[in-house]
Amino acid sequence: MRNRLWAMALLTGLVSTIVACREDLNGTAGCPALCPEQNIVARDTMLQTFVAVDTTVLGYPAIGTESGLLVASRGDTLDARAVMRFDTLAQRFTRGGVDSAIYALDSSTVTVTLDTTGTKATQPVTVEVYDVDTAVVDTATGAGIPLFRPERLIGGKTYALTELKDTLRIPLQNAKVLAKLRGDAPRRLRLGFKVQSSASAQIRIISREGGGAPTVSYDPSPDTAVKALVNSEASLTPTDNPTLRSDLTDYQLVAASRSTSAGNLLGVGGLPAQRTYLRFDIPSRLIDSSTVLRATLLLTQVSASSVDASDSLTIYPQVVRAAVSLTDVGRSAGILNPAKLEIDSLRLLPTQSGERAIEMVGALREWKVIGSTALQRAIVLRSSKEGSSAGAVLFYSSEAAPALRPRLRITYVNQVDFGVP
Amino acid sequence: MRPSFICFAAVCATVVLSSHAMAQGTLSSQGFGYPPGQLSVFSRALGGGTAETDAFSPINPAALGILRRGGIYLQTEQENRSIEAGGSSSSTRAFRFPLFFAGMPVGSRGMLGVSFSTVLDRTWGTESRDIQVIDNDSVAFTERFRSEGALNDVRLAGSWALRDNIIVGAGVHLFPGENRLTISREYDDSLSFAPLRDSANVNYFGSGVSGGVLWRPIRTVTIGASGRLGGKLKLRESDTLRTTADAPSRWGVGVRYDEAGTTVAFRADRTLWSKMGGLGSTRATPQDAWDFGLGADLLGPSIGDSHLSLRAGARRRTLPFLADGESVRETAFSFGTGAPLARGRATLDFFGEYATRKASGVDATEHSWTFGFGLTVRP
Repeated sequence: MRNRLWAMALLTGLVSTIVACREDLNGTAGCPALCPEQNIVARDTMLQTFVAVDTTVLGYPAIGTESGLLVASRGDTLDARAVMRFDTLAQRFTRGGVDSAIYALDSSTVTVTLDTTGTKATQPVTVEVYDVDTAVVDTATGAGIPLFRPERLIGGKTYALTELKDTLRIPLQNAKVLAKLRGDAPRRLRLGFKVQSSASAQIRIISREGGGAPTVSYDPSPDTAVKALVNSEASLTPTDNPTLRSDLTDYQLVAASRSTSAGNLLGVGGLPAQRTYLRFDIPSRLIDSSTVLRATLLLTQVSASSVDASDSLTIYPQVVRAAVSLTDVGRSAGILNPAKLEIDSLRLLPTQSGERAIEMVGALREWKVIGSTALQRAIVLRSSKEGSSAGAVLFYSSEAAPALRPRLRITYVNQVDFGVP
Repeated sequence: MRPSFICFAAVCATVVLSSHAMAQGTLSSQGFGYPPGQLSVFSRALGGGTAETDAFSPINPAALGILRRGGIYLQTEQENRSIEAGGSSSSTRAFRFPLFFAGMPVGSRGMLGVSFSTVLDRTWGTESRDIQVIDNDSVAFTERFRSEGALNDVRLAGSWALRDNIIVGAGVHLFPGENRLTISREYDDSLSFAPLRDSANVNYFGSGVSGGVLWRPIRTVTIGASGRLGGKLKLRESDTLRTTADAPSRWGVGVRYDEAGTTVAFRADRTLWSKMGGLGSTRATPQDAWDFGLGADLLGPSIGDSHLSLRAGARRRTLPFLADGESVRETAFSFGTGAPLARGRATLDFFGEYATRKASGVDATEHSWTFGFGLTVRP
């Protein structure tokens, strides 16, 4: 009996030890004296000629995809307008259970939400609303801007500075709205927004893409039992392109801007918006055969005198996801990974100048994993307020003097030789 | 009943202890690793004193002759290390299967056996915090360095009883092995600095031969002596031959006294680790080392038809690889016991060992508790 107990104890101990066994090998004491094998040598290199392509790309964001609509009157530096489409309007109402066509209107109003961080005004601001409906293509600046003329004025109001809050309710002329509802098809409202002030002024309307929900409302009857009819934004043209049709529910028009081109420089931001596209040609031994610990893109900023140059600008460096076979730089600059996925954002003041550092080791890690034959090794710099803010930042390109060109500083480890003690 | 209960409680206590205690291993695991000693649980409990006369310890091939009948043997160990260095301390825990043996008789005088044992266990890990200056920016990082694997000894050996009191043996050794190493460095600022991760695979292959003799001049005294001559030992990294040296040779002698259920044994062993010189860098230069062991196995209280064994031992040796340029000396005290199972067809042995390792001139002391079980099945 005792012998069995003794054997059982040993057997229990054996099984329990194996079951309870969990290795924990990481010790923290004794290094570096007792850890002589951990000799990791990091090397630095500065690449001067790594840029395969660097250029400024226009056309982003695509018309209608702006998150905010800038309506500005900034003297001779910026004149920006916004257009909203209300292509489906309620044309009938019900009173006392009887359905009836609208024959009179009252309290016609267009309601928009403002991004108050985009409001700039020192004097009362008049928001003018124009009927910009036309049978021709109205998204081009050349066609859209001339429609903002006095006989097309359909509403407006002057706001004191204290009234420029989150929501603007701009009265419309009832008779003109009613004429739209009772006139010939298409019975729709396409409204253009413009600001006037005795001084420089601007507002930023939150677009549908930005989460805004502009509406046009009107009272079809003086009977208080009949509620106002509220119409949301809607676009019914072009009929052959649903994506564009949806995008064009509201969109930005730039009548005049001083910062339309970066020239030989690399531009980010501004109106119309610019992106900088940088394609890299980094030696394979650095990306594929080494472990890159840090990669810093050094750009030399040029002081800019653009609109809102004193406002800091958040820039998103984003990794391009376009295929190597896509040679169109303009299209490549639109196929991007989400912002702040591999590379952190940075804030810059357009008026400042000097060297700026972008930490992009995350991009190099991704490029190493993906390889060099599938995706372009490129990044795009774009403004966080792209298309809805006039501020622009400029950098010297690879065509500048050698000291001012983009450079890439890489800290890497060739190979850690630690297998043999 | 009471002694059994006490022993059961002691075993359980050691299990609990081994589950929570942790140790560290960089003082003993320098160079190509830590040598567990190629000792069975029985010999380990006796401080290695019986290694030259123990059939399960792949030291002296002549000792196979003591078995007389076939069997298999499996050993498991858990070592908990703690190190105190430079005012800080840490602990680690490692688990290993250091020894497997199978043997069968050949005629009435011969035995054949094959064993698989660990020569150098290079299993350890370190985790350290430091600061690196990159482009004039100081960035803190955590570095984890881990090594797993061992250099092993596969021995095919045979023994032959020339006379009733003289047995000779010989063995052929292969030394395969593998070390899997990984390193990672994670920077606190993970947006600006990418982590460094790398791995390496080191393979060994070598050979050797051994021979030994067991002589019993009188009924109570057995003397064993053996030697091993190491052949070429090659080190490959990622299939590329990096270095070549010799496998470590060794020789040793032991004496054992058996009288009325009491065994007292002593052993002196010299391993010529320096023959591995050149296999690694100058930082891993091995040195020849002595290993002395003394132990006793006493007949304990009677339990049923069997007797309880109570074992104890002491061991003093030098480890093969220097730590920070200094020799590491190990002093160990061990205890153990064993019990027959299945009407004597199986045996379960247990040992516990407390070891202290020090290197003069190095501000570090390492302590370890090792617990092991050995299961013998002899149909």
